[in-house]
Amino acid sequence: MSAYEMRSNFGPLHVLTGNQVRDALEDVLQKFTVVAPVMADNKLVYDEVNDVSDIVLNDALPYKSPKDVVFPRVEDVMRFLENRVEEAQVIKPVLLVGAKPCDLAAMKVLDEVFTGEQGRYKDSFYSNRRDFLIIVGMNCREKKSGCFCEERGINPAFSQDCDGFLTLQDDGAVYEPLTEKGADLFSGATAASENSVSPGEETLVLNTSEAEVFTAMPWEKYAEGCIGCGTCTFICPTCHCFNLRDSEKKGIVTRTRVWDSCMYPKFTLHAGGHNPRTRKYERFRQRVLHKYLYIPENYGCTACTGCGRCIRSCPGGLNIRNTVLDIQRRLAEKREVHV
Amino acid sequence: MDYEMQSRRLAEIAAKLLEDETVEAVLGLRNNPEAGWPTPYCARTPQDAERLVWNEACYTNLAFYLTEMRGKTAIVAKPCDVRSIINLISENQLDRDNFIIIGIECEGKRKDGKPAPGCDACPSSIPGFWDIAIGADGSDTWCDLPMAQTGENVTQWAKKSTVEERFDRFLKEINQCILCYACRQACQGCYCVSCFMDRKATPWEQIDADTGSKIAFHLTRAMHLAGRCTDCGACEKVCSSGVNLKYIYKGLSEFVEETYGFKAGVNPEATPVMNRYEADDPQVAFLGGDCIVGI
Ligand code: SF4
Ligand code: SF4
Ligand code: SF4
Ligand code: SF4
Ligand code: SF4
Repeated sequence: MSAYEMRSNFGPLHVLTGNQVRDALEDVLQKFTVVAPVMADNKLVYDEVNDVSDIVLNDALPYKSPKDVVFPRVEDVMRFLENRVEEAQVIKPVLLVGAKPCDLAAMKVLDEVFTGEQGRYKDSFYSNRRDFLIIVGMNCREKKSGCFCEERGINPAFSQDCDGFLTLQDDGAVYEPLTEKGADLFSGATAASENSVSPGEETLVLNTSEAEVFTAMPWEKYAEGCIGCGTCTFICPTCHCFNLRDSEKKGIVTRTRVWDSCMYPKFTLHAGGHNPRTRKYERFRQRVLHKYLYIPENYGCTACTGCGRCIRSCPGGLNIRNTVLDIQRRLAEKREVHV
Repeated sequence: MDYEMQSRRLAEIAAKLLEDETVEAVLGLRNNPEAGWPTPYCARTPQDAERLVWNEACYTNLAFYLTEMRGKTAIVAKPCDVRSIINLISENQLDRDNFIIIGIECEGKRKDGKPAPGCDACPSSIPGFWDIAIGADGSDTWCDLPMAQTGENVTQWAKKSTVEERFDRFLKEINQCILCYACRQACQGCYCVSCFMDRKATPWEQIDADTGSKIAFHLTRAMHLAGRCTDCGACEKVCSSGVNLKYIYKGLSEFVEETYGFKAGVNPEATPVMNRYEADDPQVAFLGGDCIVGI
């Protein structure tokens, strides 16, 4: 990849005052279902908005990721009726406003898994929602405890992985359209766009093989505090495992897709009773290696954005960043010894 | 409350226990700036012991970890941890010979600037039993501090509210629940190898997958904790979604205490209330009885 990427040009920048941002939001609310950061029971979440005044555009990162928009926690995907089968068809244009650069990067990972070229199949339920989704990203000026997006090559000030990008400033904002879908969403006084942006360098990566780390790393020590609650995977923007369940009501069978988590012991329980991952360190190892080794191998990208959500929410104090750093350090030491 | 003195004495005691090889590990908490609050830590060497901390954010209940420890362990336990340990002993989940309790006096913890869940109802600053004591001033005697005891009386609330009000409160709480089961995992009483929620093809999967599952999970879990909940608040403390359902468990505890005179986490020798059978059981909790708790 070249050090400089050209920005796509879909019109000039728009410089907006605070009121203009509000008016533009009023306007999009008439046209789309809008999902944006809102307060719910004292927690900032991405949720459907009914009133512009509920939208919270600031530097706080919602505690859960916005992946529900394309990959809901619970979703009916099929119905089996007496003599036919119906597949769910969700055609609902949704506008996601205020997604931070880390969450935009995560959406790229999900796209890769569910619809990407490298993926072995295309998930129609995900694609349906994704095709009708317009995303307006937003800058992030506050590094929370546990955030490490920059080590993951993410620039908190700007991202192109969206249809338009809103840069909040102390008074108002600047909107930059990045695709055709994002062209006319916000308008204000126009200004010329800078045409290059340097992507950051990913320093937190694992350049290794499974054979080198699977048994050689102190996984038991890393995972000591884990209580197997699954919170880390549920609030993670890139975790995407699901389970399918069938249920019957009045003769109609509904197939539902629900999130699942590799941190649960039952995740890998086989029909015959065998379970290849009975210990919690084996499950934590799966979570770390899936993000930093297997997804990179299969899709060419690392599935951790450095949003730090799992670090801030883990009751056991587990820390994926420190774990990867420790593995990096141990690998470096080992390689030094060998030279 | 002198956290500094308590921490100092804790580090000394832990280092000594490890040095003497009285124990193989000391279970406690360490500072964790990335997480934003102290998180569980297992000290294994006298040097490790220096990392143990004790302050107003040390709200995590460590009893669960004790069930996982191999080898002799010392656990840093405040009153609610000890209540949980007592419950686990009475249910034969812990062998008293395998661990040492470093009881530590506590006047209530704080989480996000507020009293931590459970602390407002905690009856005493002194742990129910202990092997080594760390009092509020860091000495080896208890100060017996006054406790807030401002926790709501759920029975009273339930009696004066309508069915709709009770149901609304419950629905409002489960609204943000993402069914991650962190509350179950953190609960001392939820140690089942195979939780009903993990069983496939159960009747509760026949209902709508979202609200229905949440209702089935939370109400069944509440039933399973009746007479076993030690009001430690761990379930609310770990919930990343801010779901506050401990009131149901508290209501059940109040009911069990009133009806059967039993309180979980008080006496390790007592037969757990659910293990007792009495021919003259008032049976008020059965269908048709007049028990209303929370919902
Ligand atoms: S790593 Fe932390 S958040 Fe994830 S399952 Fe274990 S205890 Fe829960
Ligand atoms: S920091 Fe944690 S929650 Fe965030 S993307 Fe990485 S693994 Fe997921
Ligand atoms: S921890 Fe919270 S979100 Fe998770 S299942 Fe329990 S109540 Fe629901
Ligand atoms: S239900 Fe909640 S308060 Fe009761 S013992 Fe379990 S975690 Fe503690
Ligand atoms: S909810 Fe019930 S079945 Fe599940 S772990 Fe808790 S006590 Fe066991």
